[in-house]
Amino acid sequence: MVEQLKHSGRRAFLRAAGGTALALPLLEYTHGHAWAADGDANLRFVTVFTHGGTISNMNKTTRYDGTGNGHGLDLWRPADPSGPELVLGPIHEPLTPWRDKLVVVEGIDNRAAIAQDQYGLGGHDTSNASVLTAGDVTGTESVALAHSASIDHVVAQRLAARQPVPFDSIHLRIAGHQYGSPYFTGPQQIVSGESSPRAAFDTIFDGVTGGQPDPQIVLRNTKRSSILGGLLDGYSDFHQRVSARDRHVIEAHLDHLRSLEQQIQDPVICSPPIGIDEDDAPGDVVGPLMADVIVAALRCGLTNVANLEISDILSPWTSAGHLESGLGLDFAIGHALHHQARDIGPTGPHSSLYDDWMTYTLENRRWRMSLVARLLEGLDDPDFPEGDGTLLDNSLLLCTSEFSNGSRHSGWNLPVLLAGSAGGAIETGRFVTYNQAAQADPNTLQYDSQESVHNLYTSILQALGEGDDHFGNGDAAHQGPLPGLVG
Amino acid sequence: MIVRTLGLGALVSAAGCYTGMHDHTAPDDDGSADVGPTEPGDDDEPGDEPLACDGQFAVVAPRAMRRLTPAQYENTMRDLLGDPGFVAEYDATEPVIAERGVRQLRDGAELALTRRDQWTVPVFPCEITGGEQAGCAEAFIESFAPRAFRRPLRDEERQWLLDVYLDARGQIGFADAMEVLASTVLQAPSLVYLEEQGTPVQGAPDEIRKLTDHELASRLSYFLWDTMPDDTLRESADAGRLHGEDELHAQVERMLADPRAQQRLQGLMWTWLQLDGGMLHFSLEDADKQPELYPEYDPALQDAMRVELEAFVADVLTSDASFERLMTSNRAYVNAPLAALYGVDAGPLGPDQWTWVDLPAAQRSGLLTRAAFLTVFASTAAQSPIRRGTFTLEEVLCMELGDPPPDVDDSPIDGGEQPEGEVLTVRQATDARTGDGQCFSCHGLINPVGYAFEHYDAIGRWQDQEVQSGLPVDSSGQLQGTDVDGPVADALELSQRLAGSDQVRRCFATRWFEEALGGAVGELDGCAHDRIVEAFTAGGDLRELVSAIVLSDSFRHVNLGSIEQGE
Repeated sequence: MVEQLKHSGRRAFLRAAGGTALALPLLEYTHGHAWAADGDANLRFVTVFTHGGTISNMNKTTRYDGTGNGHGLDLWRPADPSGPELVLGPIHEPLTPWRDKLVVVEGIDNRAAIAQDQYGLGGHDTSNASVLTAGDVTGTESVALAHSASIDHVVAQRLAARQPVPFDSIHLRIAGHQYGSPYFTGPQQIVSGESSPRAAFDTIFDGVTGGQPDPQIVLRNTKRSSILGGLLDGYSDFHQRVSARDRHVIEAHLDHLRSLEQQIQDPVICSPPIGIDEDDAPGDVVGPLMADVIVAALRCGLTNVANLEISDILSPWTSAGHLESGLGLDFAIGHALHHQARDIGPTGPHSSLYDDWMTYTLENRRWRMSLVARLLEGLDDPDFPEGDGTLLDNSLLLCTSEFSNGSRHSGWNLPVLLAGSAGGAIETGRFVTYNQAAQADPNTLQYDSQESVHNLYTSILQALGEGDDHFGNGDAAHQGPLPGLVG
Repeated sequence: MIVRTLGLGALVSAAGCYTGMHDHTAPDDDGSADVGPTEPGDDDEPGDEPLACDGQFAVVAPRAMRRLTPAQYENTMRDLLGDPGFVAEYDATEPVIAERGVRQLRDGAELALTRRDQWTVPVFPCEITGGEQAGCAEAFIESFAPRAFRRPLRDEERQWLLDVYLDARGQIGFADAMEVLASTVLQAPSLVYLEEQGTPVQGAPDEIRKLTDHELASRLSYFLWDTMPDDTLRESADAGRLHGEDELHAQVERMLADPRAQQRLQGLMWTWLQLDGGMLHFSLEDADKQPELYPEYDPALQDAMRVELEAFVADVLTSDASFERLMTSNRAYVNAPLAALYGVDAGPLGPDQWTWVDLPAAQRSGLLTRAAFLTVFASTAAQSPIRRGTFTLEEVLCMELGDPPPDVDDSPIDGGEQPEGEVLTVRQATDARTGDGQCFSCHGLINPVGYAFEHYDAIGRWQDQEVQSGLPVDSSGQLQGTDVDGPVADALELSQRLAGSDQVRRCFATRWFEEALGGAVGELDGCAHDRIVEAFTAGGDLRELVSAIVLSDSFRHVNLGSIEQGE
């Protein structure tokens, strides 16, 4: 029966209309695959945003050579940057089993941040608010706010229109120090992810059952529907009353009420993951649980888009964790780690810490990659195939950060990793560099790229079947997608 | 967009400390795309020529409609239902609410309804689980909704709520339909948002309106108590009396005498001192110290520092409410560990015993010399003159310093033995790092203020020799770009100087004015702002400050016009 379902061509999660129980064998997981009429599989988009940059020697149009105060390494780069075959770099080591399904992209700048930063680099607030929106930003004194939605939200809305789901997107966070959120659902509409695994589970798997629908849940949902209907009327009237300058606020509130209404499903039959009951725990506990929630939500067809945001946290739990106390960090935040990087080079005041810093920071970044690995493992599980491939093959995962070089706060040459082929739209197992200076010498310290996050997100939209010819504001060097990434 | 800081006309001289850095580039920079930092302050100044205060109608700047803060929401639900144990999981602080926040409001209403046995005020006019009672929904709408919305109901709202009930009743039982009705009220826009429509003012532009008595009651209550109006305040509004100056003043006096006002004003003080953390420092509770240097520092001591400061602020607020005393008093509430920290003989004190003492007058003077502040603005090992100086300039004197370049070395400067073997004080090491031309344009202002605090180590203990370096401290400092410029010998003299500064009082008054308005002070608030500053500067009376704010035109009016970019 399980085998039959996998290829049955029907939605693997079934909604019991009006609370009527459907007889369905209990599966550990059902997979969220659904076939469209033309036989194309549903597509999903996953972002992993890791705050604070990576181990990079980027400045602006040059790289540091490691002779001054700072280090001269880029451990995000492939070990062999001559390409095009992908030879994973040190940070990506945990992703080795999925090497053939990855693309490492070099030469993507955040031109929106660079144009808006007074130092032409990025800066925390401007970079965060523009790195996923490729747009204009207001306010740099406390938390910067974007003028437009981030790529995940745009994709979520497009996919939800084609592939209806209870949640247009889900947004989970491994909490810690960070300067604002890069995720926006509209102008000024900054989104903070859910940082409690238990709360995330309660929200996303609310009413999802592996067996008979609970009559209490059915009644509760009826009541929620009534309330939401009433609130939609009430907020619509309110919207008419408030002054024009405040209407966008109430429009957003109305949108969210509609989302809650959309999430009230007849009971979804799909076994939810078990044991997601941590509320406030360290990253090494929260991280894997959040990855598991995302995998299960995608498998159960509860959403098309999932965001995992990793704050700039330290990682005392890794094999190099014991080195942390010797690094002389003033604050127990990842940000202090990056600032330390300015002083560990051969002539820096903390040059004696070089080896420990590098070991510690590499393990920190590998730990973050281990969460990507956990997502890939869940999505690429051959026991949950979709058509000829896996859920990963019908997905596109983007892993990036607001900086390349965290110590320099550089928005040039951001770390970009893609996984999955978006249903075959992207050829994987490649290293793609847009650094034109590297054409002649892959190891040059010179850097010259015409590509920005604007172009990357245009490519992502096109890979996911959308016809957009540009994303974001006018700060990119050119309109359109990245040359040669899609198709 | 709410800009938290306000450019103040008097401070233009100091606002450009980064102007010397226009050509800043790192040595190995390629220099491309570099632009000089913008000069702060010019665009949003409240005008070089303040608006005349004797116009024919009040003026007030436009600000975005407010949503209840998490604390206000929780307090409001508690008061509305008479359920002081209600704890909401509502933490939305974004300017525009996100889906998560809307879901939390739903969960808050559902949670509240499960706690009916805790309610101490009559909410449902009938026993809803005891079978259907005719007229119960109507009676509930009439009695409960106006309290929840903080004003009388409109006719269309009455009909809307009745329709919600009747629609639900068509599908589910009586008790469930009553819960649907109650839950709708508890998530309604008029509860969640501070709706301010006002009434037209004769002769004024359309967008400038006078608050209704009920809107004024809400503003007042959320400013002074962080919660909804109580019965007395609501009755005053119901009777149409609140807009009268005498009545308004009497209500302010009544509310200030309530413990909720003390708690709220203490909270404002805590916010002002940034003791719950900021972008560049941890909260008092999260401020770690190196145990080998500060073995006595533990959560109990952190907690004691908080208690001490709260008690001190409460003592000032409930006695003469004197700002000067806040900035200069050496009276302190201590337990045994704190007494040891301050080096004061408090007599024999048991584990949970507290007492009032006078701290050494040659060592302590007001808020900025207390352990809580000094601990937060320090590194794990040593005092931080840069952090203490920056706070003093930006938050006490309202000087805008701007952001440092992104690649500056901001690792802690703890003094002690340097890599080359030299032993430096924190002050010497700070000079070495920031004393050159590039950094000096701002640090030339910041450091000499911070150096005045050199006698206090990373947990606020008095030190004549530094913990790290063992070298004697030099606390001589300098105020520049202020109305009280000149050398200061130490933090005592600095605090005295600040306590008598008009600029400091203007700055402090502005912070509270912003809290009262729920947004930045704009150009059109200039007249009201000046009057408030004048009232506070004269006597330095915190209660006078509150009264002046509440009685100001800006507090009693709303501008429904569009918000200019940057305001």
